[in-house]
Amino acid sequence: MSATLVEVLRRRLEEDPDRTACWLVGPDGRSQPVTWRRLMARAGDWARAFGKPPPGPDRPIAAICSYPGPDLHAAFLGALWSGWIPAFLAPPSPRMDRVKFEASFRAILRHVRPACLVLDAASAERLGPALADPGGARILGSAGVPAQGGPMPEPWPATPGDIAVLQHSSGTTGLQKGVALSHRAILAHHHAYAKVLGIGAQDCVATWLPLYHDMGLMACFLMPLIEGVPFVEIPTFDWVLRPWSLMEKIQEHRATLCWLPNFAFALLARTARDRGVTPGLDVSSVRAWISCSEFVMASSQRAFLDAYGPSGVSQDRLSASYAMAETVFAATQARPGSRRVLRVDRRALDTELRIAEPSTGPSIDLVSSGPVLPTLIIEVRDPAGRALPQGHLGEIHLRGEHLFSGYFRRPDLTAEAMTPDGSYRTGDLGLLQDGEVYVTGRLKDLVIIQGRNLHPSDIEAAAASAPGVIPGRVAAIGIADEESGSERLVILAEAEPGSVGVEMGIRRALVREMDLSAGEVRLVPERWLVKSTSGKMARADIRRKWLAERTGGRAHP
Amino acid sequence: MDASEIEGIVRRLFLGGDASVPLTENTRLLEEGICDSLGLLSLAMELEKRLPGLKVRDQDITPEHFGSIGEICRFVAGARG
Repeated sequence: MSATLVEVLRRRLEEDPDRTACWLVGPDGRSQPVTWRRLMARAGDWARAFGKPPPGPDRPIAAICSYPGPDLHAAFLGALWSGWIPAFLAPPSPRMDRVKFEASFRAILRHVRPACLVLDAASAERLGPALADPGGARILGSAGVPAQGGPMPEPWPATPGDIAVLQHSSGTTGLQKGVALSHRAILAHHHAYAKVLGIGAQDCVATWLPLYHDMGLMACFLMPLIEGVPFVEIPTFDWVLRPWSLMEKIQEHRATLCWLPNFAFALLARTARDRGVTPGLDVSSVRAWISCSEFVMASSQRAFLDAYGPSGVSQDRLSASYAMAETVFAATQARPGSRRVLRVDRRALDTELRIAEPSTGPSIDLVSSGPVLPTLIIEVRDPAGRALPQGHLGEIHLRGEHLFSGYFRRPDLTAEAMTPDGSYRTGDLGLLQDGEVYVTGRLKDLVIIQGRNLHPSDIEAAAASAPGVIPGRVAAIGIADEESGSERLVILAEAEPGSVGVEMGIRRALVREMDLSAGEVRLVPERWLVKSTSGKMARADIRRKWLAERTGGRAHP
Repeated sequence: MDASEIEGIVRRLFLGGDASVPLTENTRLLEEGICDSLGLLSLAMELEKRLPGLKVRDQDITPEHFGSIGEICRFVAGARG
């Protein structure tokens, strides 16, 4: 077995250079095939442009900030090849305020300290003044990387334990948390996950997911390459405006695997309902539609099945995975065709933290995320760190062959996330039953909107910058929304007496600072928001209070 | 379809029917946080449902055509010609 990503890439290239590595869908909607030879020749160009890593203990980082384009993948692979550590960063959103984006971008530069910053022309233009002082980073664009072709340069001699990739989660807080992944961890994950999925020569992955997201980077780009199966990639922004293009590309390329966040299932169902399905659509080639990165809603899956059943989607092909960057990607994978649902007593779950047969009270359906990958060990633990027996609710802990090496340059955050015995504390609540993992909620106050993990404190800080909001008196909560298949962001704020237009000010601030649209912005009376004794926003209590008042039929709390 | 009808659609789709949020024909729907890019598609689909005969082509679903109530009015008028 090859021990580094570079060795695998080299072997794949030598095996069959004329095989298609991927199809990149262009702005005209046409698929451009890219052979291994072409992809790696361009990666070689990039590797030469990066050059040998300078001597010293710190390996150089190549931060890649670019809209989808033909060089995005090659720049990443070229960095990997030449011993640089590639890290995709989200390109600037056209909606976000330029000054705000520049400020957050500068913060990343200060933290990541890339030796090279790869930018396409559009990102460079939008970033403008932030680039006047890139903190010592060399700025490199496609134009600065001449196509030389020829044999690949000699790769940097990586060892399995070396950091291969940095993966950043979204959000201001997330930017401080670069997940460092070694060659060994990435390969262990890909091989194990591919085996569980039974990935073989006949497979093809269809994707629109951005590469700065772990699902896009790992499941839909690196794993297909490593396992030698092609992928079809639609630029994210094009997909957002034309979601059905995914189904058309699946049919065109007979794709077999598709990872989607829950909201995408709901959106595809809605577009089919409102616009109809492309005549003659046949997506029966897909053997697994894997829901990931968001809570799986039964209603979204049902709507998707109803809409695309006639086109070849069936119940036994709907699947799910529980995944996170800290385990490279997948921690579990549901067995195809056997999604288990446990109906349990809600009160026992909420108060006794264990499952029980439903009695006279309300019940709740828990949907399985499947068994843990054979390369990982899962434990559910109580707050004191003791392992709990099956059927008991606690925090999910993971350890095993493909855990991250730590948060980049943040030993403090790494120490916080790890237990003394080397397990990663996921911050997710769940339980084990008959070898299957059920994720029920989270300890961390995260809001997940369309697959984006958002920290409420970041959202609240952005909302508080709107004129009229009383400092420290704003709360951000996520409410499950079946229509969108995602969470709906609700902002509750207390305003200075006499201030006007506060709600619109908050909406505008969220777009400018975070490229985020609130589902609902409400002003609440002074001292309505609840804080804990330590002065922190008690979001769980606020959420309960909000839901109670809303279902109580009061329009304004 | 006039501006007030489109305003009604925008309020229902994105503001939970809230009538207190001030909206004008020129309010920038994306920039002011009323909706995101996915919202533009919802708007296009809703208009097709309401206006038999209107077919919004894929390439027309853009922030230029759906960026404000006024722009939507002009787009719909043009598309129905």
